[in-house]
Amino acid sequence: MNAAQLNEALRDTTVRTIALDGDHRVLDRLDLDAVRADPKPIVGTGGTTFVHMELWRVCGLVGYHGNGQIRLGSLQLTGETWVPGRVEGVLLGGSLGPLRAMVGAGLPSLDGAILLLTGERTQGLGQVDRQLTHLIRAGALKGVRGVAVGHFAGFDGFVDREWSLNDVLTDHLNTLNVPVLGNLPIGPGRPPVPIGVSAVLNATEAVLSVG
Amino acid sequence: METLAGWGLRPELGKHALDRRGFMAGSDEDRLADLNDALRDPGVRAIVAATGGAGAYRIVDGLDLAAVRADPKPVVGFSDISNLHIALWAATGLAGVHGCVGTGGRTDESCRRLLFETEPITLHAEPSSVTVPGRATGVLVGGCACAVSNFLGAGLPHLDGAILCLEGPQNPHFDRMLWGMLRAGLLDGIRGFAIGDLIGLDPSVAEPGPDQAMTVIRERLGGLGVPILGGLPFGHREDQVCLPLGVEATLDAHAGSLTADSAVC
Repeated sequence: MNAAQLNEALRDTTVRTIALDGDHRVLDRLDLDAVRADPKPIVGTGGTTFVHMELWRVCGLVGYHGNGQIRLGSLQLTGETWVPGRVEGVLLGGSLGPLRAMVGAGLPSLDGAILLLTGERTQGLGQVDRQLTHLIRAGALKGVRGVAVGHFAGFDGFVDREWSLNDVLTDHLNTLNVPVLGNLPIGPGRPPVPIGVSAVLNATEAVLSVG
Repeated sequence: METLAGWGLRPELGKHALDRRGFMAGSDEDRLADLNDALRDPGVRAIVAATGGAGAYRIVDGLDLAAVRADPKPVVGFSDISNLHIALWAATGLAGVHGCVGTGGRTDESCRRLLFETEPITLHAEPSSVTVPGRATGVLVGGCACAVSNFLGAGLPHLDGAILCLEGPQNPHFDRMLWGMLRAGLLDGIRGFAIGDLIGLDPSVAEPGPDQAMTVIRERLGGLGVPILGGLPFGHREDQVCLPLGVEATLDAHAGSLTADSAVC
């Protein structure tokens, strides 16, 4: 969907939900007045994180990270304890590549947030390592209260010189000194989870409660 | 090492150069310690990376900048070593050499010239679809595109007065990077662009083709009103010509040449 098609859907009052395969190219042409006049959920993963973060920062719009039908009501998702602890905050984030690409270019403040991280493999582990290093070095994760790690598509069973995806993720996330909950059923091909709403990350009990 | 010794130098291997941790050559602490030892050692006159330097971006904030300012010496390397070049240039204005040693031919010869001679070096471009005519003078900054993206909002200053050098293999997010640089205003006041070997596969490009990175450059940079010289022989190619960084250069897109000061003076 290009910017013109997305704007058409944003303006169409009969459209109540937009399933979007987005990218950075639509950001500079978004019809923000249409979003404010008739806010509607945008559902997607990957490059759609660009749109979620932009519209959250500019309009406060809640996006949905995932694919498929939106589930109403609060969600309880079970993961795996990586770093124990319990925190409350607004769930923000999404696909790692777009998050790092927005550093210095419109990424909202993550201070006080629970950071959601998912991903898609386009290269190897080095790319994930570069992206996480960038976010941390830029100070973009300052004030993050906890991290919810979802699904990284394409990395199942992937090992490079004895390192797996989880080795790269924990190598960085375990240095943040906040609770980390891994292996959550969120991300590409997983049911949508709202972004920009209150959440409780209980990494000790391995449960993320959203909404 | 043989090539360097053949130039009359006494090469010393870093203590941890042959270590291994996952896809990197040892722990961050050990790799950083090797690098800072070399930066502080007055007997060391240049630091040469043997290969790409995976994970160099992880240690850039630990570099001993006081040692660099007290005794500047060039770092030679490319690919992930571009992270060191950018970090050191941004913090101290240090000059470096984008390239490598030991593969022979014009690569070794251009590296030797940049380390031993003070005469300017000229790189000649092959015809390229991204070239935008004009002439510009500025400081050469950049290197591997994927290293440049590591510094957006994380240490890369505004590039006014600079000529941005870009090369790199298989970068799936090249368009995103240029979008981010433009959105952040980092390219305001840029003097020109020097494009090396840039073979990209970018799924977000509007008109896909075998030269997608070139399409991205035309779309994002072609209308900025500054010269672009494509087809320069630096980058991830077998016979790359070494390029000095952090030095003054003149880019002449009519003549197809980039003439830069040496890495030493």
